[in-house]
Amino acid sequence: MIEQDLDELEERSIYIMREAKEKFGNIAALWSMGKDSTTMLAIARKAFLGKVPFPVIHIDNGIDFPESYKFRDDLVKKWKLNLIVAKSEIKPEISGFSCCGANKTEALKKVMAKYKFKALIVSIRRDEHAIRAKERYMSVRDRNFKWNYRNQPPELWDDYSSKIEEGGHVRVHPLLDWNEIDIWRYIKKEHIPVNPLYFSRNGYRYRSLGCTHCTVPIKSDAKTVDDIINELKTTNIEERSGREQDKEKAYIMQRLRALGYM
Amino acid sequence: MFDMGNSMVVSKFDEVIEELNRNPVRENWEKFQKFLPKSRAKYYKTFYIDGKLRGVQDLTKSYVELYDSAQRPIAKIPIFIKEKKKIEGATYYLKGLLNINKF
Amino acid sequence: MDRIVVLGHKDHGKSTLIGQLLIQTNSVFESRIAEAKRASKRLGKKFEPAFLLDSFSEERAYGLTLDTTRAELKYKGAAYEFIDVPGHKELIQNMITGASYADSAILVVSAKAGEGFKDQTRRHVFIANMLGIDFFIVAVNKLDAVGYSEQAFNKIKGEVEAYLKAVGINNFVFVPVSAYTGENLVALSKNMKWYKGKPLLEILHGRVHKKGHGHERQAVVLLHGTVEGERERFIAGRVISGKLSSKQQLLLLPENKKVTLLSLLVKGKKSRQAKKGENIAAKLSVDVKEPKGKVLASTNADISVGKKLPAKILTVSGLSSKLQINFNGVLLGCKIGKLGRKIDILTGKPYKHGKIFAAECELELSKPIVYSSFAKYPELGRFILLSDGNFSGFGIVNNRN
Repeated sequence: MIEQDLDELEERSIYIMREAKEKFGNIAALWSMGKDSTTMLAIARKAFLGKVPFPVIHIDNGIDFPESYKFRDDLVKKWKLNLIVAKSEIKPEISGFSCCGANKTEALKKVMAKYKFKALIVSIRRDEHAIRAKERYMSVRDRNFKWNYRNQPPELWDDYSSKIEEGGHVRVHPLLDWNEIDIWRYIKKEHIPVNPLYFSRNGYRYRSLGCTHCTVPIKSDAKTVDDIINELKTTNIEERSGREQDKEKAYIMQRLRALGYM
Repeated sequence: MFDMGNSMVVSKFDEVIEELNRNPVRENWEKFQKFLPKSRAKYYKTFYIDGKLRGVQDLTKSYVELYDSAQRPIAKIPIFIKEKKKIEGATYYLKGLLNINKF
Repeated sequence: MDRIVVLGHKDHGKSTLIGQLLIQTNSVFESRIAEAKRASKRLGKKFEPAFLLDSFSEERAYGLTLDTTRAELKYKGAAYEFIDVPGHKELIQNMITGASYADSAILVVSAKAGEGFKDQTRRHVFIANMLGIDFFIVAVNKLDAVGYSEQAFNKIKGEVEAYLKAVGINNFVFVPVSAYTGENLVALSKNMKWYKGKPLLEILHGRVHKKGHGHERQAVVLLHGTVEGERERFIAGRVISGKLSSKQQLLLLPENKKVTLLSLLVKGKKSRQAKKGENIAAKLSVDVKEPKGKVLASTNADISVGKKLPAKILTVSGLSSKLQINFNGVLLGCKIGKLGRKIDILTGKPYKHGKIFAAECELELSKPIVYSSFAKYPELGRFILLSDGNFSGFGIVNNRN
C-alpha cells in the first residue's frame, strides 16, 4: 500500500470541508464511529478552529457494537459533538441484508428531509472498493437519493459547483484520496481516539466496522496502531473482505449506490 | 454451567438477568445497565440464529452470551428490547463490555 | 505521487494496459483480482486485466469504461496514480475531470489495421495539452495482433507524431507494446528486438517528476470564505504560492488595498508561517466583504485585475449567446470580445464546422476579477465555460502580450 504525504492529504480534506460548509451552509456528516469517519471529525476540528460546526448522524439499527456505542457517547462529550441518532429498521430487503443495506438509507432519508440538509459529508475512500474508485469529491444525489453515475457534473480542478435539484443533496467526500494506511498513520501522528474493536483480542480484530450481525473479524495479533500499520505494510487482502456484504455479488454495491445506499 | 457466585451483588445481577430474559422491556434493560459495571461480566459474544437475520423478528431467536475476565461464560441474555409491541435491537445496553466473537 | 492520465480510444486497450501494470508490479489486492476473475466467469468472459478497473456492471458487460478510475502502483520506490478515462465522445466531460489532476499522459493507440489514431484520441491529446500536460508517452498497442511488425509501429508513429507537432507538442516518446500479453510494459519483450528503447514504466519513471515550482518569492493567497472561531470570524483561504508570515503586509485584490495579516492560523492553530498548499484562517487589518475569489499577494507583479481576459478556450458544445464563466467558484456573465482563429482540434488546422473547437479570444466579464496567466499560477488562470447554465467547456488565461 502506498503511503502519501499526510500534510497534503490533510490540507485537501480541510479545503473540501470548508468549501462544503461555505457553499451549502446547512450540512451534516455521517459518523459510524469507525476510523475513517472519526478521522474526518478530527480534521473538521482543524478546519473549523477547534469545533465541529455541523451535526453528526449515527444511523443506528439497534445492533451496533456496544464498543461503538460507548465510543460514540464518550467522544460526543469530549468533542462536544451535536449528535443525531437516526434509527433504522431491521427488515428484509433486496440485497438480502436486513441490517445494513437500503434500510439504513430509509432512515437517512427521513433525517435529511427533517433537517433539510443540503450536503452530507461521507468518509469514503477510493481505495476501499472498486466502485468507490469512481466517486468524486462532491457528487449529487437527486431527490430519491439516486446517484446518476452516468452523468456526473465535471469536477474541474477545485471547482465543486453543481446544481442541486429541489430536494436533492450533495455528497461530500473529503477522504477520497486517502489510503487505509494513510488513515492509520494520521491516527498515530495526531493521537486520534480509536474504536477498541480495531485492536486484537484473542487473536482476532475488526479491520472494518459494520454492525454486530454483518461484520466478521480477521485473524490478527495487532494490538496497537503501530501493529496495525505494520500489518498493513505486509497485507494483501483488501480491507472490506471481512464484511459479509462484499461476499455478495459485486454489482449489488453499485445498485445499492444507485438506490441511495451509501 | 453458569457460576452463581457468592456475593450479594452477583446474585442481584443474576436476578436482573433472569427478569431480563423473561421480559426484555426497557425497565429491565435499564436495570441490567445499572448493575453491569459492578458485575463480573467483561466480555460478550453475539449469536445470530442461522447466522442470517431476515427481519427484526429473528432477533428474538438470537442472543448474547456474557463472559467474565477469564472468558468463562456467565449468562445468556436477549439481544432485543420489546417496546410497545415493537422489537428492536438492544446491544446499546451492553456498553462497557468487549467483543470476543470468532468466526 | 505522480499522476498520469491514460488517454486513447475505448477499444485500444487502455484499461488492459493499466490492469497489466497493476498486476506486473504486484499492486493489486488478491481479493480485487479474485473478484474480477469471478465477475469475468459470470459474464462468460475470459479474465481480462481491464476488469480490475471496470467496476460498473455495464462496463464489464460491454467492455467500456464509464468514468474516471484511478489506480495506484509503486515502481522502484516511486508512487504513481493512473487515471483511466473513457473514450466515448459524449463522455468528454468526464475525461476533462480525469485529466485535470494529472501532470503527464500515456497515449494508447492501436497498431491494428483499421484502428489507428482516432479523432477521439486527438481531442484528448489537445485537451490534455491545454490543461498543462506537457509530456506524452505514446504506447503503440496491440503489436501482438500485427505480428510485432516494426513497419506497423512506424506507420502509427508517423501519423501521431505529425499531429503532436501540428498542435505544438514537442515532448514525447513512442513505445511499442502489447497490453494483452503484457509486453514492453515493465520488462522488454523478446518479440520486438528491433525496438531499442526501454519498457513503458521505466521510461515513465525516468522522465516524470513533480513540477518543482522553485523558490516562489511572491506570496499569493486565494480567499474563499470565512470560518468561525470562538469569539470572532476569520477569513479563510489557501496559499497557492510562496510563504506567508504573520504580521506581513499584503495587497488585497481586486481592491488594491494594503492590509496587514494580524494573526494566522494553520490547521486550526496559531502559526507564524504558512506555506504553499496550506489552508489558513486569518485576521486582517481590514474587513473583507465577499472574500470568495479575492486574493492577497505580497506584490501585484504577476497578478492582474480586470474585466478583459486574454484567453484560450475550448468548447465541446458550441457557444450560445448566454455565456458565463465559473472562476474559482465565482459565476460571472461574459461575452466574447475579440475572437481569434477557431482551431479544429482534430488537426490543429483552422476550424470548419462542428461543436468542438478551440480559439484564442478576449473575454469581457460582467465584473473585474483577479487573475494571472495559467502558466504562472494555474489556480488563478483557469475557468469553466457555461452555455445557458450548462457545462460547455473550459479555458485558460494567456500571457498578456
